[in-house]
Amino acid sequence: MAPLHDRNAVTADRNRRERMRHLSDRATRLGGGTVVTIAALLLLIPAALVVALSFSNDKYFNFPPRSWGTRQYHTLFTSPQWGDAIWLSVKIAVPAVVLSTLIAVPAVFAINRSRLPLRHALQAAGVTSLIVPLSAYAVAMYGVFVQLHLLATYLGLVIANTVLAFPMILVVTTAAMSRIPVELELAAMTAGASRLRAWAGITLRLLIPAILAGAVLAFITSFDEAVFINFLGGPGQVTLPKAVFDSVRFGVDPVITAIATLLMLFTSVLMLIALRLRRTGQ
Amino acid sequence: MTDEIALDIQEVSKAFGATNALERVTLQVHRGEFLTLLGPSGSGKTTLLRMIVGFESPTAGRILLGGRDISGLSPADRSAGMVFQQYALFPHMTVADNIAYGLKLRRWPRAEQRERVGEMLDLVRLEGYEARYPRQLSGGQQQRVALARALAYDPEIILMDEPLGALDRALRIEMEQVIRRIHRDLEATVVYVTHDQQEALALSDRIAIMRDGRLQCVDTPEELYYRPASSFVASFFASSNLLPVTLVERLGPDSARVRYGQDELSCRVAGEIAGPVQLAVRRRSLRREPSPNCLVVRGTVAETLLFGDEREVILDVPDAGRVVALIAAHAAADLAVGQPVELYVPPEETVLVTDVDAGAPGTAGDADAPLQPDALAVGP
Amino acid sequence: MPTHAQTIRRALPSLRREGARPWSPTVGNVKALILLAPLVALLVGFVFYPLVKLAIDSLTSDHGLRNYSDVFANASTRRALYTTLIASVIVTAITVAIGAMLAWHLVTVRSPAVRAVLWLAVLAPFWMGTVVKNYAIILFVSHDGLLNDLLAAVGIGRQQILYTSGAVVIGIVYSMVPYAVFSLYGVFAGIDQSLLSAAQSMGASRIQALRTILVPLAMPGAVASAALVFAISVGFYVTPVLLGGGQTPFMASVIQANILTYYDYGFASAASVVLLVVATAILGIALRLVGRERLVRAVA
Repeated sequence: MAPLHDRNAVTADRNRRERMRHLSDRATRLGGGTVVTIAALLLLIPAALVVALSFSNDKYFNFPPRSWGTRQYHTLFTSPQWGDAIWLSVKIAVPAVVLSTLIAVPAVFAINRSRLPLRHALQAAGVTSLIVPLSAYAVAMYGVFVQLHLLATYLGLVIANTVLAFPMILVVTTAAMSRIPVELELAAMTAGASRLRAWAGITLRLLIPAILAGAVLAFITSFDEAVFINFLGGPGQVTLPKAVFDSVRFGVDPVITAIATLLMLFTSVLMLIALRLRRTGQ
Repeated sequence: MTDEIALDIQEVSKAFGATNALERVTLQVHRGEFLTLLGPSGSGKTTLLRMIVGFESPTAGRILLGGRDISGLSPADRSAGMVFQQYALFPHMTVADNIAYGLKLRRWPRAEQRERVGEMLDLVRLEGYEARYPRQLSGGQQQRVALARALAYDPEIILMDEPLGALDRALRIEMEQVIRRIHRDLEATVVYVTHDQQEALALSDRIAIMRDGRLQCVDTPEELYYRPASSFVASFFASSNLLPVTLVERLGPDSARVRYGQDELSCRVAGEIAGPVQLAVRRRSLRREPSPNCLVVRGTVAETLLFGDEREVILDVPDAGRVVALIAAHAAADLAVGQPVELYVPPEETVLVTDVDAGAPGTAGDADAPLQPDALAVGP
Repeated sequence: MPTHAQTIRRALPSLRREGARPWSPTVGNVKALILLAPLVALLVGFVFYPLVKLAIDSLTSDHGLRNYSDVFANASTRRALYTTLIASVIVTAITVAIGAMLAWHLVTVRSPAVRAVLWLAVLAPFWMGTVVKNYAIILFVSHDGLLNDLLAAVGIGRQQILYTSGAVVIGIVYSMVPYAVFSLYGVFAGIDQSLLSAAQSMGASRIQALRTILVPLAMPGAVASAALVFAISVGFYVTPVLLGGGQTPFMASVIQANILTYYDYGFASAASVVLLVVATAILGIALRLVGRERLVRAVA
């Protein structure tokens, strides 16, 4: 019975290939899983390390620590230099965020509700400061700040931080605006609202969570800014990132672990708030 | 409905760049009338509606509402109420606040606002839903709130842009009843946009059929259905078959003699006859039993589909392409694919129309003509 | 219920008078420009003007055109440029590869716990902030750090990692992986996963399905993401200075030393323009390959 024999051979062959495929699929999944696990661990370990070491009670850096305790936090809260640095960072970030909002939000309306030529190019240009090589951009800003006598001034730092912070609000608000149907405004206008009233009462009102989320991200961006401050701040303007930077550069002060842990906590809470706000806006 | 003209659209055109979305549309809507703008997508019906409410401005012509020119006014100053396909309820406001939105802008006293919101909720049968938010309502309920919001401040005209388009079939029929009742009770003037001729038939006092930015004709549903004025109206509105015929002679203002193949017969005439002609035959007019002086359509069965009580029979007819017939299922049970068959049409059910598509691609006689209503019912 | 006529009378008087100017449905260009004025002012004054001024200054200030010959003639600057570019290429390759795997797992993983841990891993470097995450890498790779403990334990022995270009690559990758994951997550989330099941139901193995379906669909997004990672990596400042130390040549360190220590603005501006040209060229190529829309989406 030759045909039957053939069919058996074909079936056997197919089964073999089937088995091979299952094996290869499992290898693929296993390999992918392993790489991802290692990558995730490598991302988590440095962060975990910082948090763990912040509870070392050693005066100088040791790994692993010889004793545990809250010495680093104690040192942090009793030395005035960190408080001044945090205060300056806040003093720069708050006006930078306010300026960023005032710049980005009207722009989002104009870009989405007018037929101005080049409006989309302008929107793309808005994120330029996020993608240019930052050290080169810092030199460019240095040149302009020298010319405008803004170097090492508070105003200069507010401007520099605004340039880096406003794209956050621009991007988040633009995304949110695209999810708000223009019909809502039209409905409001038909019911008797002026355009301004429809914008303010309907669209802007619905954008508020997104604007706040963008503002939080902008605040984090400014609060964390560490490149411009090195080029434009001069010796007198020491923000928190600058203080940490200088400290790390000239030695490993274990107090940094305490700052880092608190900063991580602070940023993660702010980011979760931003995420929450973006969700409610949808 | 009254004789008084509520909305007067005069020679309105709209060009988007080089393309003409609307060409010299002139149309009057009477106070209390329910007028439907019906047409396939891209016919300009939505553009015309958006122009009436003020979301587009006309390139030429003017629009009068209650005798005053509103062409240059903002939507707020037009006294129109608009109902959108996707409801467009304000998601951050309750049902009551949505309905009261126009009243607040008109600075009605609070007590009157509340009273009016109550009346409106009664009207759309949503009593007790004041405090809900739109996201807590079903699609049908949201559209009823949208209707109430548009009616609350008693605008001179209500505009509806495919308001049932986002609803499923059962809800659509329910909403049709709601809309019909409200129109009757409030004697509201309504301009309604749809691409669905069933909806237009069910709701309208008059229907304006649009195509390629032009108004094809405006008439009552009965006239359009039984006495179409052109081949487009016949095929689009009544899904009629279009048979190639030649005019032999006019017998009077509303009848003529035509030749179909070897046969001659009398038929009715509804519109102006100019240029090439076709014979419009509705799908239910094709029968298995002959009648006196009837039209005989000979072809072979290409396909049959059971629609419940009726069977759709598609014939390949030499010279006429595909002809679709809807025949009582029991009378068509014996029809098999490939079988030659004769169907008969009483002469009073045939209408002679001008072939408006003569020379254009996709004319009747093509393999895929006539236009299928179902094909038009889908899409936005 | 008031009659139709009554309510009309109530409604009409509150309507505003008919406007003198004709209403236009779209916002006029003048109004739009007013709304855009702050943005335009900021972009022109503090983005475009500085970059243009930088280019002009690099050609005219201090030594004029010799700024550039200085940059390229100086052996240590050449080495810094070379190191920066090579390191950025390596960073880009590693970042996009790891980012893609993480993003794909984030899109496909079913267990909420695993997803939460993966997101935590992706967000951890983000939450730490620019300087602190470099500090964390210092702790991790230092001579007595955890990584060297591990290397010693497996018998490789302790290595000098800190203050080498290897440390800088690790640092930049650590900083950039979250960005790559964010942009690639958007790309993968936009791909219909049933396509992969469909391919596998037709007999493709998992890896064949990934290679023939997922990779081509994700490629434009990955290219956009890679171009951005490269452009941003080239300009990293904090990481080369902190992790590379004084001895490891990177363009950022060279630029910083020239401007803040030697006050040689001409040299620094020429070196900066070189970086800008490289980054712009890469972004320009990506723009040609995948279009503006995708590139902008990769940023956000």
